[in-house]
Amino acid sequence: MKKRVLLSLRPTDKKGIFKAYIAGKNEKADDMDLYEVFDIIEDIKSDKAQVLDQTDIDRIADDIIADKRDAIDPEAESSQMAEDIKADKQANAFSEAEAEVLGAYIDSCEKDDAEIIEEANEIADKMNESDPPAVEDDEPHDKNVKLMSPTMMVVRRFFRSKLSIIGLIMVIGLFLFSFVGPLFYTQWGMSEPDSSPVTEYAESTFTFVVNGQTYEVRQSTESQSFYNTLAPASPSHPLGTDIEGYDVLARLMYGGRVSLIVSFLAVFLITILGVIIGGIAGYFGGWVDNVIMRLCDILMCLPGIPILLIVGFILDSQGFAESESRIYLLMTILSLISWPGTARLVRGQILSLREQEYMVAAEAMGYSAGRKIFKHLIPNVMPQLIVQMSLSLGSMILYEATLSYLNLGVRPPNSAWGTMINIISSNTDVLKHYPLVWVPAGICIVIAVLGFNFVGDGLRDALDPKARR
Amino acid sequence: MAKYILKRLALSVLILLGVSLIIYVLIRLMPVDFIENKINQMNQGGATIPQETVDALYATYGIGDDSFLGIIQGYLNWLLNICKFDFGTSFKYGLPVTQVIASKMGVSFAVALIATVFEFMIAIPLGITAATHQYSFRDYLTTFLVMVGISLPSFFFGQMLKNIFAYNLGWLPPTGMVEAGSSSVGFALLIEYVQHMILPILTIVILSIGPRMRMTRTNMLEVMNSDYIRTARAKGLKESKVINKHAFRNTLIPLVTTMAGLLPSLFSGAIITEQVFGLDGIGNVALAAMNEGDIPFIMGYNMFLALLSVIGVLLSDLMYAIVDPRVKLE
Amino acid sequence: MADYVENDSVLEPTEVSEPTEVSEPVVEYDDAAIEAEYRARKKAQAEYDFAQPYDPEALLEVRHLRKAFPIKKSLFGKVQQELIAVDDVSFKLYPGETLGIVGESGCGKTTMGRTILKLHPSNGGQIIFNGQDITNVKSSKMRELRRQMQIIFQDPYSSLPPRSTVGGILSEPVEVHKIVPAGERKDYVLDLMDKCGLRDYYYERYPHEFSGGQRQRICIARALSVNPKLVICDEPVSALDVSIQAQIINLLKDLQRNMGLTYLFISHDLSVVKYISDKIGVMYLGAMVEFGKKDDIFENPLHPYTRALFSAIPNPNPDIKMNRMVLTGDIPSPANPPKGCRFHTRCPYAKEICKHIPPEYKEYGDGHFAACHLLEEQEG
Repeated sequence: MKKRVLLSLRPTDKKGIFKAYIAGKNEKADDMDLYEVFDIIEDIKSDKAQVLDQTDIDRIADDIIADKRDAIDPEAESSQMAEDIKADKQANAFSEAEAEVLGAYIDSCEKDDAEIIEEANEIADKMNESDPPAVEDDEPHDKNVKLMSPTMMVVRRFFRSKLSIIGLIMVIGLFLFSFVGPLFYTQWGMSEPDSSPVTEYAESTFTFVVNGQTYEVRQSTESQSFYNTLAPASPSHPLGTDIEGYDVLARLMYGGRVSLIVSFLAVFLITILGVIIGGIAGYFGGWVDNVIMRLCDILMCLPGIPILLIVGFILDSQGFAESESRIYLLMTILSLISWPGTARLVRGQILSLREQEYMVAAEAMGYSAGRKIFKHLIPNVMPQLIVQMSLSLGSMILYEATLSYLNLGVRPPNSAWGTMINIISSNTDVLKHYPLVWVPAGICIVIAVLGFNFVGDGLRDALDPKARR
Repeated sequence: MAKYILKRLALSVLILLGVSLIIYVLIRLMPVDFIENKINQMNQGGATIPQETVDALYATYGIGDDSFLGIIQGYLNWLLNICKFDFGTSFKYGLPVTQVIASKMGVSFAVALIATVFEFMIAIPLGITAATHQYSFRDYLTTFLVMVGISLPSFFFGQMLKNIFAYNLGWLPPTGMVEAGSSSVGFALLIEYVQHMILPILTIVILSIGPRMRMTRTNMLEVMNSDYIRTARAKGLKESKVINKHAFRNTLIPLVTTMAGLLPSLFSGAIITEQVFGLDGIGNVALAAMNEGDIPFIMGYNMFLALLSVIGVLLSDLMYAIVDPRVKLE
Repeated sequence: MADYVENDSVLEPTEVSEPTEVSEPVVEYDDAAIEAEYRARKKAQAEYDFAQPYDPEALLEVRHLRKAFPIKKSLFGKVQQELIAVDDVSFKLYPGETLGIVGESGCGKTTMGRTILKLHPSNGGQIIFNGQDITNVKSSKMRELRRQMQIIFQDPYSSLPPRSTVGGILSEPVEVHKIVPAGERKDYVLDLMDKCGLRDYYYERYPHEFSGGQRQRICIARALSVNPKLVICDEPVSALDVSIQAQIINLLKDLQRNMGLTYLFISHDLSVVKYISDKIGVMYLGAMVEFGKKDDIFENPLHPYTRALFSAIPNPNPDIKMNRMVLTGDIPSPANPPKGCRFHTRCPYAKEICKHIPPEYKEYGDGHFAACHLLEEQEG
């Protein structure tokens, strides 16, 4: 395969366009834009091209990094790309020996175009002599440029935003904490009270009068509690214990499992229901659409928490009062009420996508309805759907926390983040003096919701960078 | 236009029918002995629920009669009662549910109204300046407040504020509407009310400013980047006029629609906040009643909330029709 | 573009003798009666035509095709006002021919093309394809038939699904219609791409990476992947650069020769139509006002609208004087077409009769149809 030799790269007067001198090309220097510059660098990395003139790439990279917007295309996601360019360039610094071998370290600023092109062609010929004859290809530039699929472009854009990465770290961190944590932190189980007896002292003072003399007695009574409740932080209890003597950190981890799983489950259900029902409404239209939309209207007017209170009662009456599956059932019912939001989104997307010309083309090609829906419509609905899903995760976590706080959801001795906060609604002592019991759970909730929101926002920007935030 | 309003009204009726059906079905899913249990518990707890009330309930809603006819009959009775605005008689209070709701409405409404007014008064100007001064401190403040608003559970934040300001610093009272055992009247009473409402209102306001600011900012940005604003600038209009006269007005449109839709929710009562701060509002009362199993109250309150929702949607649709001339032509 | 604009003289408007004011009889026109009579006559005509046997040699036969879009509906869904996009269009298309359809924007040519393909449901008339009446055929049967009738859209940017690769887009119809066994599919597609001027390594690329001309080639390849008999080209080059237009047109011509295709070529660009068509149909406000062989129409345009259109073709020869026939007035709204002859509001030769009675669509030469009162007068 013929190697491309990049002799020189210079910015031109036109914003974002560079002149590149490449060996093997005959007529004149090519105009390249920022993306192509980047791709040249990638080729250098993968050894499909060599650069002979270092100075210009330095200058260009510096220009980009210094954010001189005159030099670059303002539409490009500049600074991160600039960092990438500089990093790549450093990684592929040419050794002097290699430059000598090719015998042409050119100071391109002083030579004019014609001279450079001549030298470029000479070098190219020299290289061709040593290379095996290449496959006939009269568009080498077109062929060697690496292009990415839309999905990869989205992924790349996602990782450009610091906030998205932070969000991702937060979420992954919480997952590891909740699911992997207990594997390492095996000291305490979820509802394993610390039964190391603790000696407590209670002081009381009383006065009495004897023979006209007032005596004040201070008495200290010793008592032993059964469980080590409300203990302060210590090596054996990094976050102390709660009012039942359970280790707070352990409950935080196990609670995280429930909170996270339940939220994902709810979002998953909502999405499936929303996609199917919204898809049907959007695709078939007519009375089907009408009926479904009315159903959505009705469900959206139901008050969330009060209805769940009723459902809670029903569950109690069916014997689920203390069960672990309580929260799962409650969140399932919540999903059954919350799918209209997603359904509307999907329906709207489908209504607008249906009229896209490639859908008419699909009809003209004779594709069946199923093929049109699943191979053409749904993949284009996915982006918005994914964004909505990740944003809903945040609200599902909040819902679960609220339900558990109200003692509807996860009840002790089971643990979830909201449950751990429930204690302070009835016990002001804990609220005032024992923050370690309830604040960490709240912090976890905040981290989870923020994390999901950052990821969701990042996805939204990655999928449609032109949308205004 | 009239056709539009009629259509929306008819739709609202349909929605209410659907909601009433769902609530009825849910109640009927509870086994009778469970209800009996709850009644007994309440009686033991000091309430005296006259047998007639219970019987009336059973008879009207057909509870206990699980035959198909019984169910239909029960639903129709329920529906009829709703139309007469009779939402049943509460077990716990012995009064019609509507009366209970009305009596406790004052506190909830006051808190909600004041909080909403503050929320809009602060969020909208800040949101607009965040849009006109992108990447400034105001913009980052918006982002911060948004993060706070969406991620903190209201109960968590409320309890934290209570802890810090009431218990630790002692600046404000933690719970209740008035000092325990207070007998102030007139102006002194008002002061006490104000003192007790500061924390709950603060909780609500701080949590809600962020998203409201963001919405305003997004709308404003969209308007500011549109072609007609660019034309106004190109024509040489003063920037302040561009913003105040053209951009602002168009930002108002979605805002006004939202506000109209929010109106009914001012009456619904914030369950969580009232519970945290011990306010004697409809939310707290409802929570207590629902936890104890006051079935008529549950049914009535749920229906009430749904009614508020429906009215909200109707109002915002109407507002939308008034504000957007295209709808009038339909 | 110079190669396919002939160095003909631009057509002069033919002389039409106009009777003087004095001798024209004053006629009272009863519009309602005229309309009723016109409708009845049309209905009878249509019924007669529908009963005729299909032309065994024609690949596509369109009889009295009508497509209307509702504008206003009553509360119960009854249509109160409609926009007639295609009004009583009839023609025949023989295998191997290219029929060029020209007209202004909004004249209904795109709608007609799509209606013929059943992409819009028709509201009247017959569509006979390959000896089969497909007007009311079931959608499942239609899906099979679609293999034989394809379409190339105007906008190459939106007519390709953005999330599929070129290979995916081209293989799909082959797979759905089982053109070749699965093992041979990729080779078949690569061969097809080669025929359409697409390089083989485009197979894994995505549509957004290509220029307009290349995308249109992909659309052409897609349409041809199923070996259709009829291809409707809906303004395929209007969205492309002029220099690319020539390439695509020539590609279409070559493919037609090699694969034995029949084209219905819709365009508003007369020079393109002149280059590629064998027959030409001129549409105005939803109706076919003139139809005939290309040479006949260019040498002897009958309808005043046709004459006005052709007078506007620019001629690169500076020595030949352009004789522009400028149309006055705005194009009427298709929702509210003029009474009588739909062209009368802009026709420089309009007479009183033209304002009341719609002209007959008649044959005035071998396969040369037109609808104009002035021609009728000249005849009789």
